[in-house]
Amino acid sequence: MWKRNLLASLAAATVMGSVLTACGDGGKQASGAADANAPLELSIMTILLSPNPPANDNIIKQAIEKATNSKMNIQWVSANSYTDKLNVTLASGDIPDLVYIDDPFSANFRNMVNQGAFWDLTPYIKDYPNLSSKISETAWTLSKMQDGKNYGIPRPRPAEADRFFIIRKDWLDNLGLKPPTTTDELYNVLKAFKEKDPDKNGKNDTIPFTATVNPTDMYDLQAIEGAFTGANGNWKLVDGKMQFTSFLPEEKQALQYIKKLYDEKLIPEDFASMKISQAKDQFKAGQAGMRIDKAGTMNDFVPAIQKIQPSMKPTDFYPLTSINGYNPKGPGFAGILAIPKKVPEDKMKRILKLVDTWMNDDVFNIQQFGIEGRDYTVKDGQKVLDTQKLAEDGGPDFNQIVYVADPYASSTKNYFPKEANDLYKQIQDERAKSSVADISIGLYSPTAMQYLPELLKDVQDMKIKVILGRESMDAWDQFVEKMKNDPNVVKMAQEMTDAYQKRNAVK
Amino acid sequence: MKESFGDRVFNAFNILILALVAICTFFPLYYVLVVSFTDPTEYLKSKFIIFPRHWSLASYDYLFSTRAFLNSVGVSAFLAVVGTACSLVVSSSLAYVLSRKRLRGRRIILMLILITILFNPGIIPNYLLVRNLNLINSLWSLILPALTSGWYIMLMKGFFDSIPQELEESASIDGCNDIAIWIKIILPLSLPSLAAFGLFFAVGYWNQFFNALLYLTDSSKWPIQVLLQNMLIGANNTELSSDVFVQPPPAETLKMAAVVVATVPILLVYPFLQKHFAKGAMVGSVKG
Repeated sequence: MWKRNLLASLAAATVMGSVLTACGDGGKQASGAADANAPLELSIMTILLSPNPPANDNIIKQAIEKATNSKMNIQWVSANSYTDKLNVTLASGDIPDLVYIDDPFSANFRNMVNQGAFWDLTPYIKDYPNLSSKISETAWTLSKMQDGKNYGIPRPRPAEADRFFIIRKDWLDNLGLKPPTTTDELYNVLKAFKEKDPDKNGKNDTIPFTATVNPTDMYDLQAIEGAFTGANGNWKLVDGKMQFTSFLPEEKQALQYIKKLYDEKLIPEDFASMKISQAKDQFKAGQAGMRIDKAGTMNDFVPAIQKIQPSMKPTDFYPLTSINGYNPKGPGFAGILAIPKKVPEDKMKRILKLVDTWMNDDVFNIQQFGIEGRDYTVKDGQKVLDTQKLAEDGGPDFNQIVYVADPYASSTKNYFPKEANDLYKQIQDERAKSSVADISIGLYSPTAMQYLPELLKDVQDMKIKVILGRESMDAWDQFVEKMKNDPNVVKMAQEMTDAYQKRNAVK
Repeated sequence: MKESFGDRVFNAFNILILALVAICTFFPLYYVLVVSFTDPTEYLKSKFIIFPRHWSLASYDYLFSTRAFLNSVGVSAFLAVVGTACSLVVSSSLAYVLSRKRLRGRRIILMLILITILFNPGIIPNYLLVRNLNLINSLWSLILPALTSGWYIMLMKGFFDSIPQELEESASIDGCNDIAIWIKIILPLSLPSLAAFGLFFAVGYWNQFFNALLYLTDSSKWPIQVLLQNMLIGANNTELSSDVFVQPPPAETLKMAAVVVATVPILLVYPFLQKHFAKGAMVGSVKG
């Protein structure tokens, strides 16, 4: 008899439980605070690049919240699932108050902007000193949508000293060679790396140039393509018209050069299937003589190499200035922070103020240096940073929300030894004199949105086949001829040219 | 009958091929296990490790000291245990009830369940459903919508069909009501089936990744598969990570240790349920 009652009460408890879960999370949606001085409650969604996400009661987060008078509910999303999660979030309409858009030129985002889902921030920027001054003009210009308005705050990134050749200077010194400045000199250096045992271990086991490629672009090998074509990216301005770089005659020369490198085993035989981490590991293990990266990653490699080859100095992680007069520079921003229209206007302004305050030196330093005594100590007036502890406290993760770009951040770091910082700064200044940007960023071509990904894949497949020797150079010529006359390619080039001229006119 | 020479050659050939296939299948598992116990510096130096010279528990030490990792193991364990219990209760009771022919509306309910097997609404409608139930960012969003599967119900029902009606009749003559019959008689008889499906559910809950990615906003609630993916693949994106200072990605040995921890619990549970498992899943599917 009591068993039946027991069962009935169990059933009732289950039902109540499910009802209560429904009630439980309902109240969490905080609407805009009415009191102007109360801490600003907002939800943020951004990418996570570290293996471990920062906790909600993270000490650095609390410090930043105190400094900006806010209470942040941060959703960290793993970097390569970000696009999926973002699309679902945008489609559901439950958009957080400040959301990082990784690709502001994706069809999805452009569509939502056209439907009026996000605030047009262009008229408000001038009211906030840091937003206008600390984010470069280039970043604001390149991140405009096709109607010429800014629908998000671009996240600034250092533009100069983008990924380029990094060479083992100690190996060059061992062989009595100078850093190369042309593709011919580069070839000679790589050949010497292969044959003359630069690490002096008695074996010819070095990989002169460790490089990887992507399914839709040449990635590391783009540095060589750029050295021949003089252009950064997929489009080059030739006589006032935009042309697809892979169809230029110089591209053929680049492919022949890369093929020579491959045939003589100066790049790894399995470069076409190697992963980025494998190339990094090869360099870290002291097996490779050259890779493509930014000088600022020196600390990722040198300490590991020093465990195996203790004679390497930080300045032996040596960036080349230019090859054939070419070196790339970046767009100056990585993604934008957008605010959805459903956020009321005064809250939107408060959010802009929050970002603005966050960009102040004293607040920004909280994530750069951490808490005194815990993540850094002051010795002789200089801040000495414990990078390991700062990383564990999640300091660098907050750079994915707000970042103030130190123009030398790609090359120097505050924890590098002085000689390294001086050397890299000097090289970056040299590079800035001739650096080339990707002029196609942000230009809107409807045909490109539809056909470019497929085209890039086909072009990349063909390039790899030619390099590996599976297709001849003649086959490449035929391919280029066919593609150049393809109506979609012609239309794309025309639209890109028009967009470029339109943007240049609106200065 | 003595084996002819041809037979022997054929057998030898067979064994050779199968042995090769077995080694190919087993080797990646072996490699992951071995690398996870290798000293990180030695891993960087050698190109390929069959048997490490320096064994070390460094990777495991580090893993178990990070709070995020322990959190996610706890979350996954919670999902596996509580989720499986809930799923078993719901699925088995539904399957049992559907196997009793005297249930009114039985055909209609079976038809509805069949429809759910055939159609799946997709990501966005599921997300909207979970959101409207206010389950976003709750661990119950990973349990309640996935509580049962039409397919498993059908299989379990097949099993319960094989339990004769006469058993129930004799029990009810002795004074049991429906609930008592269910708990005292049917359930003990169906342990093989429960064990088998319990394992299916447990593995499903332990492996949950995409749902967790979509529905959980608080990263302290990540189950282990989401954390693992972040650790293994997220950190490979050099394009972004060389921009600003980010921790260097974890060593290969660390990733392997994480894979081992994420897979081993399920591997360990299998042998214990093996004896129930062998009979349980298909026992109801063939009549007579």
